[in-house]
Amino acid sequence: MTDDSALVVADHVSRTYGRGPSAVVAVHGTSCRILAGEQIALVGPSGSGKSTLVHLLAGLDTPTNGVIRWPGLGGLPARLPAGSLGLVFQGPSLLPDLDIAENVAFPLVLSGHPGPSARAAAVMMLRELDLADLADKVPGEISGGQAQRVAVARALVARPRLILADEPTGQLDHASAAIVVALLTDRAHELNAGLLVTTHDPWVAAQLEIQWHMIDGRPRFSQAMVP
Amino acid sequence: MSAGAWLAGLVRRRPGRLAASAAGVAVAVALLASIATFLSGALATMTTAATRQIAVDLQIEAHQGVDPGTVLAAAAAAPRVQAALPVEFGTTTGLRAATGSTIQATGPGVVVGVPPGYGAAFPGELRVLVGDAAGVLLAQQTAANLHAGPGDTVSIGRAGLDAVMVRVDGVVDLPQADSLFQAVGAPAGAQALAPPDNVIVLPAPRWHAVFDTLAASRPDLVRFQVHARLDHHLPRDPSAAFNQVSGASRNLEASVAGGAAVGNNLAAALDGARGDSLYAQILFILLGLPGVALAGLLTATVTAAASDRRRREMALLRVRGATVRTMVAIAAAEAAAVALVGAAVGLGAAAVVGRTSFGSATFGASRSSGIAWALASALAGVVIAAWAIVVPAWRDARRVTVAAARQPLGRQDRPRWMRGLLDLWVLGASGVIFWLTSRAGYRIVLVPEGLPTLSVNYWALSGPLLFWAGCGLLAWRIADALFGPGRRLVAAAAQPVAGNLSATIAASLSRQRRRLSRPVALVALTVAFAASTAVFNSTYHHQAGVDAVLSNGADVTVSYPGNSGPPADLPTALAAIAGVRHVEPMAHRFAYVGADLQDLFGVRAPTIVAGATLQDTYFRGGSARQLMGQLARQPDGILVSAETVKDFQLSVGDQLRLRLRDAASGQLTEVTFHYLGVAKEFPTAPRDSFLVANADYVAARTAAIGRPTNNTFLLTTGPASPVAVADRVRARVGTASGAVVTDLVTSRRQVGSSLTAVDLSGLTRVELGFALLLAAAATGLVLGLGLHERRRGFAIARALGARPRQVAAFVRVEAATITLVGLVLGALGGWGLTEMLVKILTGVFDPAPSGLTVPWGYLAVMGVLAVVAAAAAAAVTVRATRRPIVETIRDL
Ligand SMILES: Nc1ncnc2c1ncn2[C@@H]1O[C@H](COP(=O)(O)OP(=O)(O)O)[C@@H](O)[C@H]1O
Ligand SMILES: [Mg+2]
Repeated sequence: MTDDSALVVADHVSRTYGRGPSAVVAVHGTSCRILAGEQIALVGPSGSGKSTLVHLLAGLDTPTNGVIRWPGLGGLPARLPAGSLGLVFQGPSLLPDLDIAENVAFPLVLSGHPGPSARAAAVMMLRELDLADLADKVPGEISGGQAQRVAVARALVARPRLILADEPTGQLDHASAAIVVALLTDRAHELNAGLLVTTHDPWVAAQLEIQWHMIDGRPRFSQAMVP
Repeated sequence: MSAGAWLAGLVRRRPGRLAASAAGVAVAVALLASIATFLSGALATMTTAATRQIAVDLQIEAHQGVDPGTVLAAAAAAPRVQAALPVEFGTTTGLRAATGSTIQATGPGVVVGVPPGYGAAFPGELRVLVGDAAGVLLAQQTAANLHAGPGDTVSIGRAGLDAVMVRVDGVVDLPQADSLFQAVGAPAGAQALAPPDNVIVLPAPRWHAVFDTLAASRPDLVRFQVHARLDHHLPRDPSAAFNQVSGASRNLEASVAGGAAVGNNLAAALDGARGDSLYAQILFILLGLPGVALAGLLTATVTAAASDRRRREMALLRVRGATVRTMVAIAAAEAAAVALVGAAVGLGAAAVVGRTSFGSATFGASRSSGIAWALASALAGVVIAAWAIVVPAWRDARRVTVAAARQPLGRQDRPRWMRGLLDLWVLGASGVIFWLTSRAGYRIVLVPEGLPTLSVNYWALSGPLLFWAGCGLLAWRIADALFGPGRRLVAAAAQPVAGNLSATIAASLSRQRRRLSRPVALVALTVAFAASTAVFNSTYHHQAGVDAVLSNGADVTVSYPGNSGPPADLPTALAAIAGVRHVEPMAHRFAYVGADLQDLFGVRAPTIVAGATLQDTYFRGGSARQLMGQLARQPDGILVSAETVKDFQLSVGDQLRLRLRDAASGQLTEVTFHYLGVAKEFPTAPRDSFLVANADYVAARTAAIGRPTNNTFLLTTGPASPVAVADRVRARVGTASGAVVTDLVTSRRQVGSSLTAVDLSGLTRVELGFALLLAAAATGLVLGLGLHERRRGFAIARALGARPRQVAAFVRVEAATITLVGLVLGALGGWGLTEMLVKILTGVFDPAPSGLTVPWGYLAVMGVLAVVAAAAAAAVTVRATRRPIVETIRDL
C-alpha cells in the first residue's frame, strides 16, 4: 500500500503554539497516515495534543513544520464537498439557531442537497442513534450528552470517507458511549471509511482495531503503522 | 472579585463593547448639548431681529392739554432712553393737487411734523423714495392718488381755516405706518384697522406754521408725541427682554404721572418674538428629543447585542459566589466608566459643533445656564448608561441560573408589550391626540397678550412623539412577524443569494427573531427621525424662500412709485441685462372697492404663473394655473381677498364694480369685473386686501391704452445672483427715475417675523449630521456587533465544510433583511410623522405649504449610508470567518 491511496498523510508534522520560552509544542514531529477502512483510536491524557492532531488532519489548522496531504480524498478538505470528511468536535459544536434535524442535515445542505431530502436523511440518521424525538428541538433544549450524539450523527450523515471524532464519548455514560462507538465503527466499515477516534477511555480505545498512544505530542503506534 | 478588577479585565477583553457603548452615550450627550447651543443662539437672534425691525421703540403721546415739553423732558430723562424727539400729528380735511389740466383731491388725511435729525435718529420710519428728505414729503400712495411728485404744489385743507399751499420736495414710503399712526394707549381691539390713506410729512417749523392756529381753535385735531429710542442691550431671551422693556415703559408712564400714554412698539415686537421663541423651542424639542432617545436606544442595543455573553459571565460569577449586589456593583462600574468617557467626548464634540456651526461654544443664554445645560446633558448620558447597562445586569443577576446561562436562545415568549398590543394603543393614542390638536382653531402656543407668562400645549407635542414611538414598536412587531410566521417570504427573497441554503437561513433567522427585531425597530426609528427632520427642514426652508419671494415679488423687483411711469422700452432693456431670464410686467395701482382703497395688480395672465412662480397655496377656488387660465379667458375676471368676498357676499360669476382713476380725465370711473376666485397671497402684494385682474382690461377701461401702465417688473434671474443683477438693473434704470430695485437675498434678510429670521440652517446641519451618524450606527454598529457575537457559529459552519460564500450568504441575508425592512418601515413612518409635524406646527409656516418638500438628495445619502454601513458590517464579519477556524471555535 502506498501513500497515494492513503486518505491522509502527515509527514514530520509539528504544531507549536506561541513563540519563545512560552511556546507549547502540541504536536511534535509526527508522521502518520490513515487508510480507507482503518479504524484507529488515538489515546492519551488531556493536553497531550490529540485535538491539535485531529484539527491538523482535518485541514482546519496548518502545521508549523512538515506537510499534510490528502491523496486518497482527492484534494484539500476545504475544497471537497461538505461532509466528505466527517468531523466531531470535542466541545459543543451544534449551531444554536438551527433545530436538531437542521443541524444534522447541515452538511448535506451545504453540499447542495435540497432542504427536504436533506432533512429526511437527517431524521433517519437521528433514528439510528435513537434521537428521533429530538429532531424539532434546538440545541439549547438538549443535554450535553445528547448534543454530542447529535454531533456524531451530523458527522456521519453525508457518507464521509474519512471520519475524525474528537472525544465523541467524552460526556457519555457507558451505555451511550457503546452505542456511539458501535455506530461510528459500523458506519465506517459500511462506507469503507477511515476512522480516527480520540479518547482517554481505554474501553472505547479497545473497540477499535488500532491504537495510537499520544505522549507529549507524539503518537506511539501500537500496531504496524510505521510510515 | 472587586468591581475595579472586573472593569480592568473588561477593558482588556472587550474594548469594542465598551467603546461602542461610550460612543452611544457620547452621541446622546453631544446632540442634547448641541440643541441647547442652538437654542441659545436662536433666542438671541429672535431678540435682535425683533429689536431691529422696530424703527421707533416708544411713542409717548401727551394727553390733551398737557405740555408736550414736559413729556419730552421726562422721556429724555427716563432710564434706558437714548434719543427722544417730538413729533406732531395734524388732521387735514383733504389734500388737493393740480397737475396739467386736471385737479385731484383726496379725503381726510394726516399731516406729520418731524424735527430736524428725525431721519437719522429713527432710520426706517421714513424711507425717502425720491427727492429731498429734509423737505415736504408725500406718502407714496398719496402721491399716486394726487398724481403729484417733487416740484408739484399741494394744498392742505384745514377745518374752518383756509387751505395752505406747500411745494412737494419728495416722495416717502412709510414702512411702519401701522405703528406710526396707532392710537397710543388704546386697547388692542380699538386700534384703527388701517393707517390713513393720505399722509404728508412736513418739517416741524412748517407743521407749526400750518397747525398752530388750528390747534388753538380745534385742539382735538392735533396730537403731540415723543418718539424715543431705547438702549438695545437687552437680555438674549425674548421673554426676559420683553420684561425689561415693559419695565422701562411702565417707569416712564409713572414719571409723566398720567400726563401721557406710552405706546411700546419694542415690547409689542418682543411679545411676538417670545411666542415665536417658544415655538422654536417646541420645534427643537420635537426634532431633537427623539434624537437623544435614539442615541439611548442605540446604546442599549449595543449592550443587548452582548447580553447572552453577559448572562453567561454573570452565571459564572454567581457560581463563584458573587451576590446580586456585587454583580450590580460590577455593572455600575462599567456604566460609570461608559458614562464618564461618553459625556466627556459628547460635550467636547458639542463644543466643536457649536463653534463650527453656530460660532458659539456656550450651551445657553448665559454662563450659568450654559453650565446647567452641560450638566443636564452629562446627566442624560449617565441615565442612558445606567439604563442600558445596570438595569439589564440587575435583572439578569436576580434570575440568572446556571441552566439559564447555558441556554443561549431557548424559545422565549413574545415580549409582554407585544401581547398587550402596546404599539397599537400608542398609535391609537397618538391618532386621537393628533385629531384633537389639529382641528381648526387649535393653537399650540398660547401667548396671553402683554402678560409675562406663556403657556405651551405640550399635550399636542405628545401626538407626534407617540406616533414615532408607536412606529418603532410596530416595526418591531412587523419584523418579528416577518422573521417568524413570514420566514417563507424571507427564504424566497434570500433564494437568489443563498440558493438551497435559503430555507436553513430563514429558519436560523426565525429562531433569532427576538434579537433581530430590535435592530429593525432601531433602524426604522432612526430613518423615520432622520427623514422627518430632513423633510420638515426642507419644507420649512422652501416656505421661508416662498415667503421672501412673496414679499419681494421675484428674484429682483423693479417698481416705479407714484405716477412716474417707466419708459416704454424698459421691459426690453431689462430683458437685455446680463443674468435676467424673464421679465414679468405688472401694473400696480389702486382701486376703490366700496369705500375701501385696495391695491390692484394688473397682470398678464398667460405668462404670470411661470413668470412669477405662483404657488397653488396663494389661491382658493383653484390652482394657480387654473385661475390664471380662467383670467386669460375672461378679460373682466378678477380675484379678490377673502375679506372682500365676505364683505360683499360674492359668489363666483358675480359682478364687482370698482372705482378706478381714468387716465384721460383724471376722475374716478366705474369699471365692472366678474369675481373668479380668491387670492390670499400675491407677489409684492400686502398681507391684507388686494385685487388681481387683467392688465389689458384695466388699461382699456381707464383710457390708458398706449400709456406705460406697467410700473412693476418681476425679474427671474436663474442661476445669476439676484444681488448682482439688482446692481446692474440699478445702473441701467438710474436713480433719477425714482425706480426702486429690490432683490430677494437682501429682502429675505429683512423679512420681519422673527422666526423666519432665525437661521435654521445651523440646526439643520447639526441634526441632519447626527441623523446620518445614527443611521450609520444603527445599521452598521448594531448589525456588526450582533454578527460579531455569532462568529463562533460561522466558524463551526466553516469547519463543517461551508464555503466562504455560503457563510457570507448567512451574513448578507441577515444584514440585508434588517436594513431593508428597517429602511422601508422607517421611510413610511417618517412620511407619516412629517405630515403630522407640518400639520401640528402649521403656525411655523408662512405661507402654509401646499405639500412636503422632499430632500431626495439627503434621503438618498442616508439610504446609501445605511446600506454601506450594513454592507461594511457584513464584509467585516465575512472576513473574520476566514480567520483560522479552530482558534475561533476554541476561543469561545
Ligand atoms: N490555541 C492554543 N494556544 C496555545 N496553546 C494551545 C492552544 N490550543 C492548545 N494548546 C495547548 O496545546 C496542548 C495540546 O492541546 P490539545 O491538542 O487540546 O490536547 P488534548 O486534546 O490532547 O487535550 C495543550 O498543552 C494545550 O494547552
Ligand atoms: Mg482534546
